[in-house]
This record gives sequence, structure tokens and C-alpha cells, in this order.
Amino acid sequence: MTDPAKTEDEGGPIRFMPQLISLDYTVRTNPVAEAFGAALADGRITGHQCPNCHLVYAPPKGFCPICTIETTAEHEVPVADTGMVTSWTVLTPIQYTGQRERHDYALASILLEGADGTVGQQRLLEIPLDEIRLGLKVAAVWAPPNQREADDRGYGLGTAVDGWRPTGEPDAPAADYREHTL
Amino acid sequence: MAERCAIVGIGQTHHRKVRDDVSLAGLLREAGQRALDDAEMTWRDIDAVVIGTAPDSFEGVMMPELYLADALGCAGKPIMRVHTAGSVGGSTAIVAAHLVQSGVRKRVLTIAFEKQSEGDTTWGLSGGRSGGVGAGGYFAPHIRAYISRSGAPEYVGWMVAVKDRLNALKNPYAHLKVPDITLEMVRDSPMVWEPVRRLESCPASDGACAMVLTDEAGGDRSPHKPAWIHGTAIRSELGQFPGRDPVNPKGGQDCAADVFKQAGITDPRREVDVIEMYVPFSWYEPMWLENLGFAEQGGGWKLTEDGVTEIGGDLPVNCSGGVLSSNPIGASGMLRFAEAAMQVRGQAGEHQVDGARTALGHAYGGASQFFAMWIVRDTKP
Repeated sequence: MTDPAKTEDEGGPIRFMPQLISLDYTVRTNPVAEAFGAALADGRITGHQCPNCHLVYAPPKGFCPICTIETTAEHEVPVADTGMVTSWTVLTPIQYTGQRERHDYALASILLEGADGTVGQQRLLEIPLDEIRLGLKVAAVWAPPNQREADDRGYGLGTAVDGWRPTGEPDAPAADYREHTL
Repeated sequence: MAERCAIVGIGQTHHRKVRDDVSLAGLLREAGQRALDDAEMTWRDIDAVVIGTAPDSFEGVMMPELYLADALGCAGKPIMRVHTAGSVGGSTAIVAAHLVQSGVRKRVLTIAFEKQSEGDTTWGLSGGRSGGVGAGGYFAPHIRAYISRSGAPEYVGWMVAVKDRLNALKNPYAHLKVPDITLEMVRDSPMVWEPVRRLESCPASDGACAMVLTDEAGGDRSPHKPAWIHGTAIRSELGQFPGRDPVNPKGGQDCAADVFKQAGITDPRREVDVIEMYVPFSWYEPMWLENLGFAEQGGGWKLTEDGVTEIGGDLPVNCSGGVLSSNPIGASGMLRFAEAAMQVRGQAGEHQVDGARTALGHAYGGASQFFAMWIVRDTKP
């Protein structure tokens, strides 16, 4: 999307013209993402545990990419809405068309208790940006029930969780997060 | 593969923030014509064209290959497009090489490109939604994990940024040129994706890169010294699963081991003379040095700190200025492959490494999940 600012002509010939388009589409979701979304709306995070390697995927993928076997509702397990920060970044939002973020904010990878992989790009709340650290223990700050929409592709937590706040527990040791950048 | 493959022509555009003097097709033709001139060939001499670019949403032009077929002289000839995200320039060159090595084609023109000024890459990466993290925001947590694990001092990232920008001053095609760059200037540049500062990040560029690849007979007839392909490897892995390590991905390790094996390289640190590596954010230099087996885990940053990766060091990395200096995304991988070939052809001008005979071209893409590499030498395999 061309930045409208670029078209502010400085007396020369017009070289760029913004062409803003919109696209409405209907997503056909899949049963695994649908069930995960229903749980989120209910304030619960669920995962699938691979019957072979026993790793827990949250959000569930409907398969284990390591063992390449299908997982279904019968493999569903509960996952806590608490966990630890395994890495993070503080972003200065780039002002592309449609960007609503205006101030620096932190996004973290969070390893949930009961899951083996992290959920990425989770907003950290209620902590100054310069006090975030690896191993920080956090808990979900849930969105109001009527605003919990799952990601239509089954990625991440959609809008169900506004972000994560520190619990005040002691930080996890490095051994607990080192192998969990993802 | 039975047939040997030679690189007999290399061309690239002057990479800029905006190349509004040419259309998308004009940009590709500029690189393609330079490669053909280098090979002393014309568009008619080419049997097939293989092109590559990053996702269409980055430049906002859907399926450009459809209209580029005409602009690139492909009437009556095959054209195909390759797509593997940021590694695409590398995998495109490899697909072109395989057409020759398999004996199917004798003279293949390959071009990779990106005209970032036509669109907005961060918007594209964000799917048009607010809150998109862009490439820097995605990779920053991986970089933080590397720094935390390796204990590397913060200034190592600044050193890479300074080195590559100084190298870019020796490359007439490079986009970003900061003649007075210093460690302090990098340190004081704004933090954009903590721990990545603005001057530790790649620019957004318009540009293209092209190569003419031929069979052995073509290499023997080449008017200028050819480079010979000694190994090609591509690997991919799923973007996220428990146990996947984006700091040192298995796909990258396997890809490097494969390409070294094909080239008969057992000690890459000693046997490779020069590396062109895909480093869009400064910390990827030490990270990939470890991933590719040039340094032990946690030791890549010491090569940077000791000046080993400078021109004049014993393992120069990104003498062209690299992705940190020019980043037409779709072309960035092919630029690495082409610059590696230029080094062994003795064609790199001011950024030439004296006596370079074995070079590695490297590209990565997606969520650090696609890898493409080749080894080129000044002699036949």
C-alpha cells in the first residue's frame, strides 16, 4: 500500500498515487480451530497432545509436525493461562496504512504451563518496558467474553487475551526458557 | 547430476530506495542485459528464464511473471517463477542451475527482483492489519535469545553494521552508503525492534540481479573467466514447533552440511575463502556463522569481534555490503549467490578478496525456515 505521504508533491511530476483497496472475505475455518475458538470464548486455553511423542501443542494444529500424525478432539488437553516469557521485543510501530499502534509496546513469546511450544507475539501489560526479562512469570488478562474472537486460521489466541501481566512470582531459571525461543 | 554448470554472466542494477526511472520490467531488463553483456550473449541465445521474487503483497503487483514473460524475451521459451520467501533469490539460482545440470537446458537466464517502492512491505507482512510486527519485530526475539545464550557483547552487532556499511562504499551498486559511519553512530541510532537498532537493520530497496548459467561447453567458451558450481542445497522446515530453534535452525545446519559435502569441503572455516551471507539484521552474521558450521555454538561473535569477517580478515563476510546495505528482498538472495561468483571470477572490483577461489552464497527466508546455498569455485568440479 503506497504511503499517501509520498504523493505530497514537491512541485515535480506526480510519481506515486495511493490506491487503497478493501477486501471482504469469508473464512472457512477448520474443526480444530473452531473448537479452540469456542474454548477461548469460554475463557479456556486448550492444546492437543501427540499420542506418540506426547508434546502438547497450544494452539492445537490438528497434527503433530514432528511425528506427522493427526491429532483430534480426543487428544485435547487443558493448558494453563499462566506461563513465562521466553523472549520478547519492544516495537516502535511502523506507520503503514491501517496501523493503529502509535506508541512503543512489548510483544513476547510465552511458554504456557502445560504446553511444549510457545505462543508468539503476545502483548505484555502492567510492566514498564525496561523491566521485562527472560523467565518473567505472567498470567493472561482476558478480554471481555463478548470480545473473544479466535484467529480465523487457528494461529495464536486471536483477540481472546488482551495481554499478559506479571504474577509477581520469582523468575524462571534460564534452563527453563533457553530451549523455548519458539 | 551429470552436467557441469558454469556462471558466465552476472549483472545487477544500481539498488536505490526508489527506482522510479524504470518500470518493474525495465528493472529486470537492466540486470538481465548486464548479465547478457558480461556473457557476450543476446536475449535470443537464452533457452529458458527462471525468475524469483518475494510475496506479491510486498510490492503490490500480482503475478508479475505473467507480463514479464514478454519483457524478458520469453515468447516461445519457458519461463518459471520460484518462491521461497526471503531465500527466493538463492533458490531461483539453484532451480536455474538444476535445469543446466540435468542436461535439459544449455543456457539459462535467471533474474531475481524486488521493487519495494511500489508497495509497503511491512503492510504486506502484516496482512493489512494493525499491529503487524514486520520482519525486524519477528526476528528480534530470536536475536535476543542468541545474545542471552552466547553472552556476546552488545557492540558486536554495531561492528557488523559498521563493517558492512564500509564494505558498501566499495560497491558501486550498493544502496545505503554511510561514509562516516562509526560504532557510536550505530549505538546512538534509534532502537526500533529491541535489541535491534535502526542502523543494524537493512534498508528497503528497488533492485534486481541476474545471471547467465551454461553447460560445460558454454563455460569453456565463456569470454570472461567463469565460476563453476560445486554444490547446491535447499532445505525447509515448519516455522514453529516445540524444540525448533530459530537461533540455530536444523534446516540451515543440514543445508550447509549438504552443500559442503557436495563440494568436498570438510573444514569450511579453512577451505572457504569468502562468504556472502543473508544478514538483514546485524546479529545474523554471528548467528549464521555458527549455524553453517564456521564457528562453534556461542563462538560466532568472536570471529566478528576479532575482525576475521572483514575484507582482509581470513574469512571475509559480505564484502559487497550485504543485505544491510541493499535489500531488494526478492533479489537479496541472488545477490549473495552472484557476489560469491563474482569473487571467484575476480570480478568484484574494489571489494574483491585477493585470491578468492572458493565462495559460499547463502540465503534464508520465511520464519528462518527456508535455506538455499551454493558453493562456487574458479575451477571445474
